Amino acid sequence: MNFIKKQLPLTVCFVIGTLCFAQYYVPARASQDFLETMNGYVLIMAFFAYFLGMYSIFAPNLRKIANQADGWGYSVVLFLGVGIGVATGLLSHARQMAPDGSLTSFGWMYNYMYYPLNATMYSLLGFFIVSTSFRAFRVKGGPALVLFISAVILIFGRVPLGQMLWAKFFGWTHVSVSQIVEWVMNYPVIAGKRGIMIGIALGSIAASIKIIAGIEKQYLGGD
Amino acid sequence: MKVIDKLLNLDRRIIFLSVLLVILIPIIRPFNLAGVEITGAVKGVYDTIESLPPGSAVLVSFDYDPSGKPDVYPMSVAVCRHAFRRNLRVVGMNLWASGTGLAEEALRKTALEYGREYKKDYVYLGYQPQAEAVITQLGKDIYVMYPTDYYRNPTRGMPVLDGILSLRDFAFMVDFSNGHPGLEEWLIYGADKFGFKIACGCSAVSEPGFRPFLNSGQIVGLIGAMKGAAEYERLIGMPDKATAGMEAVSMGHFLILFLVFGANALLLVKKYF
Amino acid sequence: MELPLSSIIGAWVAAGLTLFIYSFLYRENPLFKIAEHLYLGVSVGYAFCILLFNVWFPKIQGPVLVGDWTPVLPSLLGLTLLTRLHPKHSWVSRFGFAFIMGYASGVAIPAVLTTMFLKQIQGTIVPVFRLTASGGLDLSGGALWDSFSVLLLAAGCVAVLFYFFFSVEHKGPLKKVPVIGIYFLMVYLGASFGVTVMSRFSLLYGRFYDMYAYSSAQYRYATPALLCAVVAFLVYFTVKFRRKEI
Repeated sequence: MNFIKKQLPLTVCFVIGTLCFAQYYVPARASQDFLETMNGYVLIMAFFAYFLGMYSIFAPNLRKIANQADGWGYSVVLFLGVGIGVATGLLSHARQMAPDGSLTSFGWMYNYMYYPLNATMYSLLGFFIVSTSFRAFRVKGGPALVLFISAVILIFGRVPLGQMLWAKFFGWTHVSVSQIVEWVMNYPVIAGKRGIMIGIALGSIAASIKIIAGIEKQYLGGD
Repeated sequence: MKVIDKLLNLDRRIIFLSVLLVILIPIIRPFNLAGVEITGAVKGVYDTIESLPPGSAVLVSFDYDPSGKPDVYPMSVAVCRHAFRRNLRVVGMNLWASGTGLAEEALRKTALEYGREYKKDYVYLGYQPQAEAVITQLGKDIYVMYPTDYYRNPTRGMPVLDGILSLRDFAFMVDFSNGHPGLEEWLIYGADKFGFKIACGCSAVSEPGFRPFLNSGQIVGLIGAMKGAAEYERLIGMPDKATAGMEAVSMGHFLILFLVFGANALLLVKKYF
Repeated sequence: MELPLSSIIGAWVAAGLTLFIYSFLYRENPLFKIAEHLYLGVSVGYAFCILLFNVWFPKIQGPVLVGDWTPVLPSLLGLTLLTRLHPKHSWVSRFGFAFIMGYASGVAIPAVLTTMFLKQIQGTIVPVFRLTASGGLDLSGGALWDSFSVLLLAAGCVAVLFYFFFSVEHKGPLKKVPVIGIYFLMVYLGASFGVTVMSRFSLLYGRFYDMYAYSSAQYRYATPALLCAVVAFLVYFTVKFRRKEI
């Protein structure tokens, strides 16, 4: 039983991983067909994986409602939102626009509920970034000063007002602030990001090899 | 000193109010600032589309959600306008489930402006999950991944997809990316493997991360943030939401500079005087 | 131009939900929590419908109904994932997860190696000097500046990589290299902060623009009316909250 519960899944991972890795270097028809099959499988499995996420949201909220715990009313609102999303989607077959260009009920829900809620949630950060910068952005030491100068160049130089002011006071340098910003973005910024990117690439390749080889087994879950 | 301490501990709601005012005032009373300067990164996208012969097929992937509407949506509209003006065939799709509405809106709105016909001049393929599977499959055969379009019309035989079997058959591809999956997935599983020309439009947050790809030549151009969108609108001669928004963003930038400089200056005064 | 009733109602709903979320800036309150939970619910419902009509019907149900059984095996593998929720039978989910992890890892290795490693190195190791039309080195001001920039990029990249390299102790002559790497990282982080500021202000502009549009007579003054209502509620809530504390 231990073989079926532990060794067999690791074997599946190893076989599929090795074949998917090898197909990249094998230009034969069979190799391409194999990848096509795997793509189709993973796509369908992703549909079922979504229900795991749904369960993790539904279960605690259903428990809250059943036990009438603190804030259970908000859980009712959550399910009301799910109901609105599903009902409008089923009615409109997930179409947001009718053939004549008018909004369907799903499109109405997307434009007047989902979009404002999503965009406003993210836009809250705009307020907090200003308030946190005022309170926490302190220039203490060399690295902080470099970070500060880099941020100021980007913040000042990427807007028309900054470009206008630079042209007025520093136009005699014959170098526009845009050129300075572009140089900073194209050289020192890339140097920093590229080092991180190469490091991440090596790390992810190592992690992938460990998963295929069965060394990394966290995804199997507990016994 | 008490005044300095009070200023340094300013109630955050006053700061929130100042943010509200600097963004709202330019909306109510526009200043009509001068236009943004065009950068090489944005021009790269524009020049590539300009160089495509009429009738070429362009793949556009709208990989963003409503949080990308103020900066990524205007650039996707500008690029679609440019493509339709150049009589290019536009094939739209997206890798983000939450972006289908915006993708559909951008395509239909711009197609209507130029009198383009669905299935003949443009098509919207829709959304499929698992980006690596989608891109890998598109690199081999797009009809297996998208046997039907978003409106369940069969894709085989569509005039807009004439001569297109896989990603290699597209003359150009533009990915509008607001995170993952996005440009990195398109490069890793698509462009670097199958070898097609690709450019990117992205939100401000992603732009520094995508610059190495521009530098190494993996993408031909990069439209970054609302500024990039405003540049593209200027290039095609159609100023729109992004151009208008740059005024409010300018004011916001100067507010944050004022507050940060002010806080550090107050600390210096407190320390040395 | 008279707008359809659905647009006017939609504007009131959108403005209301936006103000509910912005009320969080004053303090956490029931209006924000309602909007927060509604957002979560609507997101789940929306994503479910998109997946249902883009994956289930065309890729699973459709083929099976016409006698094509190829989706059955991946569907069974997909169903095994759901057994993770039942402790006694959760071992069955290992097959589904092993399949997905094997596929993702196998496909990722060569792809990441090409895009994020080899191509990045290729982009860093470029000729330092340009050549003139006659074949000699271009030593003009602009060309020398480009040469300096290219060297700066390469040196910075190496310094940043060295900062993250822990197999060798950073001592002696090598001690300065990671310090230089930190400075390049600070330039990158400062630039990231700078562009993040633009991104957040863009989002704010987008929302405020819509709210300004909804304050017009066309939308029956949705924004000011709802703003008054929300402010009145927050005043009532603050007074009630203070009374409770007392």
